[in-house]
Amino acid sequence: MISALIVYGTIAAVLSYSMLYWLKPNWRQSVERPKHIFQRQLEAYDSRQEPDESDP
Amino acid sequence: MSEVLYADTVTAPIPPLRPREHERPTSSPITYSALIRAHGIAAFTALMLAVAFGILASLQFVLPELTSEIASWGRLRFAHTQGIMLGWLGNSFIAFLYFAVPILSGRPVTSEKLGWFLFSLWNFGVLLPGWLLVLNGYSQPLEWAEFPLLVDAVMIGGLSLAAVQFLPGFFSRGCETLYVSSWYIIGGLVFSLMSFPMGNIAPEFIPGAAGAAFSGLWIHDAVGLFVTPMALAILYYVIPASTGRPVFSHFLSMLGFWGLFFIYPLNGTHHYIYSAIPMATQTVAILASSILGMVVVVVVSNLMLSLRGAGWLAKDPALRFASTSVLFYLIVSLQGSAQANMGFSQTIHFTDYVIGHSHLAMLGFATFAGISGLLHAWQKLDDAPYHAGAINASYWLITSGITVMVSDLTLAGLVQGELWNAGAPWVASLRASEPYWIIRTLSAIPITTGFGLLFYGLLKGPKGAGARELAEAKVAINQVQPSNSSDSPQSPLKALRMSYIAASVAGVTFFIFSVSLLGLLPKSTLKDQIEALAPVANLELTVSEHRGRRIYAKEGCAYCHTQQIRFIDADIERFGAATLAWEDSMETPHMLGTRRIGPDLSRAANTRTGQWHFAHLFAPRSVVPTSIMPSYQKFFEGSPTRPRQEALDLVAYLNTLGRSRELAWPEGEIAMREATGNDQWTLMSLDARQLNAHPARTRPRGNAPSLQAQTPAQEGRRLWAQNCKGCHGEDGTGDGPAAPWLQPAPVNLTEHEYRSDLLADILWNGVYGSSMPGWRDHTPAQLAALIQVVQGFSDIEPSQRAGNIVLGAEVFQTHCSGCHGEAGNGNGSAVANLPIPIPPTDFTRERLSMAASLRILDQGVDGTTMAPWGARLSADEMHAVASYLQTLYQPEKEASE
Repeated sequence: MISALIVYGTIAAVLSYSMLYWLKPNWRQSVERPKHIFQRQLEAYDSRQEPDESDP
Repeated sequence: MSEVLYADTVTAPIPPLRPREHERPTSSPITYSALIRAHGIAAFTALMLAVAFGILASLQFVLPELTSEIASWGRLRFAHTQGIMLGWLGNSFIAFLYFAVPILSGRPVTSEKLGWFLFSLWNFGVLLPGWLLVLNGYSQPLEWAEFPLLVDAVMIGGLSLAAVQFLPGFFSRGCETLYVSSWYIIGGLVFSLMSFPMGNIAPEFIPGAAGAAFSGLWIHDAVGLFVTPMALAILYYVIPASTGRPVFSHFLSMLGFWGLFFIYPLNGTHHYIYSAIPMATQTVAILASSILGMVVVVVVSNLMLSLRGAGWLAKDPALRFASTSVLFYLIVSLQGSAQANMGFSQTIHFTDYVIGHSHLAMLGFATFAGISGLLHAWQKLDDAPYHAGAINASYWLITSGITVMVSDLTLAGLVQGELWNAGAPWVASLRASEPYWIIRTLSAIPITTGFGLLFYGLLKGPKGAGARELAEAKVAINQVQPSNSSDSPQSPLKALRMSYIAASVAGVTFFIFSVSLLGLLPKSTLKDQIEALAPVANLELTVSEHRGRRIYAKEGCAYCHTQQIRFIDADIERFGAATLAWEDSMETPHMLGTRRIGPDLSRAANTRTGQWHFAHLFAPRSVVPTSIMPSYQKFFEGSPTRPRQEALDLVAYLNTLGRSRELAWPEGEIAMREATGNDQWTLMSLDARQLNAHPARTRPRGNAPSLQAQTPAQEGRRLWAQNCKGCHGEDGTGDGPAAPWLQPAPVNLTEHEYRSDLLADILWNGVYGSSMPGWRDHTPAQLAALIQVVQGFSDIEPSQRAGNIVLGAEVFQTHCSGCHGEAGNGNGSAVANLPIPIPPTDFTRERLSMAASLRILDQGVDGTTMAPWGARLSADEMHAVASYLQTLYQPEKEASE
């Protein structure tokens, strides 16, 4: 019984998460948003690390 | 140039997003470079030492005398695995966290001072004392949890400090904007804090199979909830940082994250398939292992799609290590799912296949991720030396070395498993493994050289060269696959925030569920089963046996010898009835073991004599010429005949293994059958043909198979050299290296003539009361070949019916027939009525030379009830008896007529 619960629970969770992702564009964009934020953070970090060429 | 489609760009274009205040990057140039360097250097130092321990442990397999002089094999293995997990991976992960967490969270870590305290605690409060203690024999025999309880307590402090140091920054922002690496870091630290005490402390206090259930959870959680999350955090960080493009899909990465944290904790019991742990629990673990394989495919697909354009052999070494780590992760995870399959498990469980798997996980997937993270951080340190040539060369050396090692161990495991299933003698698997073990040790050369070069590359070389290399590599990738940076999506939904909170609560709940399902539930089930089946008065260990058990534990004997006969035919045929939970219900901590290099010891009691054990512990190859067991001369005063208390205690403990079940037989078996009802697994154990099927255990004479020589003589000589020469000597003269330590001394076969049927009987049943074991794990053809070899050693004069036979017969009937029987067939009245441990000689089937007969009559035989008659019989009488004995012998032809 527990095994069946795990299998069906996993399938249900994956399906509901996937359906939500597929049918709700706003949800999809929200889920994907962190990777863009992270990318900007990386770029910002790199730009701050580069030496300022205006410095004498 | 083809258009790049990212997972979130399949809808209409979305207007650029203006970041909200709390999402603006706040990262600043690295302020923790000293801590990164400190942990990086500690990581590589620990790695080199842990690898050295591993090499020494591997040498035991090819040069078995070597490590006995340095430290015992078990202790080296403890230091090796704990060093890799806590010293190398732990430090490299922390180094990466100091670099990545401020960027990921946009906040500094809690405190630099706390950082130095954590560094000291991790290395000088956990790793160093842990190593010193296990190498000096203070340890717990629990896989991946060998450091003793005191160090465990410090480790829990270390994990708590790490959580305080790295996590607050993440919680200052909304969960909905957390990047997947942040999730893995949070998950890794939180779940390690929960699983470490469960796996390191609980099994110390829970006996037998119930304790093993918790151990199994930790074996898997150590990899699944500490190492894997940290490694994946690095991969999800380095790939986009190095390629300059976001990961393919954050949706898939989060699906993988939650899948991993929900499913991983349910896998643990698959380390004990077919054990006494309830089968329902095992089934859950097997099922979860299959689901986990699917989750990993999702994770790897996402990472591989994120690597598009970078190629497997990216120019940036950090990215190259990351992409290879992804590949290793896929292989090792699918291997893990396959290993949990019950059919496959029967063959590969306990073999080197699993050792190959664990090396691929820790030294392949996790180490490559760790290197990738360290390299990436190093490249960003302005003043860090960076030798590109050395680092690039190291990649090839380490990759080739690990590929060879894992392939080699995988093949070795398949060979070992097939030989075990086929019922071949145990030493056959050792002999077949030899070439694989040599290759395994040799594979350490490129791996160690690679690690050394990598370390060198991070210590020497032009400063800032890493940053230049990374920039060039990033330009090269983006020329192939430009980033689509105009697809910034809309602001997050509030519902998403709630879903992450719900998932976090569910993750923790699921971990508790896993511990309940795979730990507490089996404990309760086993308790009921033990109460129903165990004898009313189970014999407890004596003080000496307890001490022996502690020695067994600290020397790591459980890492080569299992104490669980699995519920499978091959195990039951070889070792006897499958181990029921109540049999080790007083073993705290459990010693079930997960690897068999030597045979299972569940039923070791009374299979060997004390002298054999002493000789075997002192000089294993003296009694088992092809053994690779370490010698434990430290337990003796220079000779097996002078055992110290440790040796006496250890042998006392060995003689308790299987004792309870044996003492309960046969009434206990009948009672168990009544109590168990229809439980098929218990019935399988009760229905076993023999309770103790150890092939070497001596038995009363009889029931030997009929042996007909079908094997070439050369094969007989080979078998002799592998099995017999340790005691009887190369030429059968009874002067093998173990001979001086055994009583009665091994027979000088040149002085004897044996009939084949007697030799068949001796080889099949052994000689009860002596160190001559049975050889029932050999085929009848092999035993027949050995008989030919033994008969070939005989160098005695032809039988002469001369001398005073009448006087000899008189003396024999007066003094000898009580033991040897009136007809001289070794079946005198005393044999049945007195405790005579060793059967008297059957002179109808065995003839001694005149010289041997006279010597034995005069001096007796040490270690037997054969007394010296020199003081009681005259020389003439002894000569007459020796002559009379010649007349008793009935050669095979005569006997058959």
